[in-house]
Amino acid sequence: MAALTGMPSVAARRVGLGRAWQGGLAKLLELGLVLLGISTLLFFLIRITGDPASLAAGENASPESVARYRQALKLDDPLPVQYFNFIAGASHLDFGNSFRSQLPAMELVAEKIPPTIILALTSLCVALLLAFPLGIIAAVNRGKLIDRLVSVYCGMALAVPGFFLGLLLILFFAVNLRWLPSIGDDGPQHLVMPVAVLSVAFSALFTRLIRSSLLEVLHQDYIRTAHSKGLADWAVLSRHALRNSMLPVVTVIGLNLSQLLGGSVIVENVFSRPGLGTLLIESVQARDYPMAQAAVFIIALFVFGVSFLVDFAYQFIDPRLRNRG
Amino acid sequence: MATRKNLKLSEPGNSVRPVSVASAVLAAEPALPRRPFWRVRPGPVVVGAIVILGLICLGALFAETLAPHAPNEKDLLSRFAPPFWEPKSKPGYPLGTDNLGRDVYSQILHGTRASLVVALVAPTIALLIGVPLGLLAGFVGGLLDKIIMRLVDIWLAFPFIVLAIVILGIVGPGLLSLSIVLGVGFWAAYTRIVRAEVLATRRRDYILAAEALGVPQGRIVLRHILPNVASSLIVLWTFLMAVAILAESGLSFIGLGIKSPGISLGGMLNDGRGLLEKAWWFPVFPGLVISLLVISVNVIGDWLRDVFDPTVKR
Repeated sequence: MAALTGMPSVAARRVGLGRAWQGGLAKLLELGLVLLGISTLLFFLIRITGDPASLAAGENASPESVARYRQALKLDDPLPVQYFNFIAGASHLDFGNSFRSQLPAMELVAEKIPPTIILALTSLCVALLLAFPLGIIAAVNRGKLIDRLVSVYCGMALAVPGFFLGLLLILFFAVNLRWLPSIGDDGPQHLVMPVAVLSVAFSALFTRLIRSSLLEVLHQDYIRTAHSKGLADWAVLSRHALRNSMLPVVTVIGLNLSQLLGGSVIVENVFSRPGLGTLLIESVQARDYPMAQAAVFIIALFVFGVSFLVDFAYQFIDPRLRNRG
Repeated sequence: MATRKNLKLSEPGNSVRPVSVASAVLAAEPALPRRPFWRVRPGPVVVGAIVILGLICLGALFAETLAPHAPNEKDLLSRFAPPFWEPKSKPGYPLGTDNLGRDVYSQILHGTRASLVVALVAPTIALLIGVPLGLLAGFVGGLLDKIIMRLVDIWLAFPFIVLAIVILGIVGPGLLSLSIVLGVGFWAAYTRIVRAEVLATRRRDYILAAEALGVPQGRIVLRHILPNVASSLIVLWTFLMAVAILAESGLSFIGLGIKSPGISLGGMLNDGRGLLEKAWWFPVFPGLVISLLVISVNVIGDWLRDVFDPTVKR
């Protein structure tokens, strides 16, 4: 959240060119610890709250079949041994077989990565395309009617839950007007409404950020200097103001890529779109724990992979960071 | 586009705008003297938000007496009754009925209870976890501080809803588990604020004076540090209420929050999503209530932040 206030995180600052490797290594170590922590938490929660063998065997299973699963899943081993085997498997992305389909969980999860990434990235692009004009117009016309309107839009966009907006869109465009298909994933027309829902909330977040970040820069001395040497307004804005207000914007975009993944979980559910989110919810509801664990693992991997990339992106945007350390 | 006049007009210090829950609060530095909140006249929007929130709270408190029907009372003869303004509406069902003939208005009154309980409990649990950790990080410093703050960074970077889905799936849905999971999920925002505030205040003269007088550390924290943090905590608490309401309804919507026979607004939307063609009012009204609730809470949170810190302006 330090990042959100406009300061790069400690780790980001440390990644000057001189210490890039060291910072990268520290980040990788941290990533490993996070994945270990999440996997461990889920491993023990699952075993404390129920018996995976009877879940794997399914409802109405005979005691013999439960016992067979118990053996197959090696649940008779002492807990530390089970835990060690689980971590050893997880370290090369092996989470065992899905309880339902008996196929390797990680393979099933990997299939669902592309649709989710497409949804998240398209939404990000749309959100940014909305947010830049809105944020710039609001900042330049601070306190005027158009600024107020933008702020009302942001307030509403952040308050209306995504699943409600999704249902409203389905009601208007699929049920009443019959312009768009409501559910499924079969071609670009299926992407329109999910992207609309996801991008509205994030456009509001980015608009507020771009506005405040730009306002902060606009009263700096060098902006006044640029004006006084007779530069055109658009030149001051694009070359001096916007560029310098980008650092917090990139940080928040990077952080919110992970929130986009989180948001897409529920949006996918609304539109019954196949993807990581739908898979995660289905697996959790069916108590198919290997699948759920593999899905969370992959999502975590993405999230922290992105934050890793964002840290490196700083160097290109802010030359001051390059010379540090 | 930009006119020079506009660009010149922006004054220093007027540009901080909320970016997110915690940073909005973080941006607010403690400014003295603070005006008591009744001195800052709330604008019409804020008054509207307080009235809406008050009405929703009253509705939830007195749901039993206000609701014309029991929330799960089925009336198979009145299925799919539309809201009152439509000609086919049935008396006694102001906002219509669902596919089982249950009164939508009564369900909403009872459903807001779940939202409000989670909205009150989750941020409080988070406060109880996050504040001590923040005090610890700020006061002890060193390695402990580094570890706690890295944990905060990591925690805030992860989409918590994903973890909440899996944990609720494992421990089972329900009002209690939902409140606890969300409460634990929100701790990091408090820790960050409290630590920042401790670092900002602990070198102030009055703290040094207290230390020189031999006041024990615990007493310094309670008497001198916490009161300074209180306003930031109240503001964050308010914003987290909104986040909790959204999270609760979202998780109930995917069937992992509050399960029937328990009633929640998100659960109503979930039940209603297959009925869009036959009974649009069944999912739409609870959705509107959630949105109104969240907007009101956010508006009040914005106002409180302005009240506590007059230097932060839009």
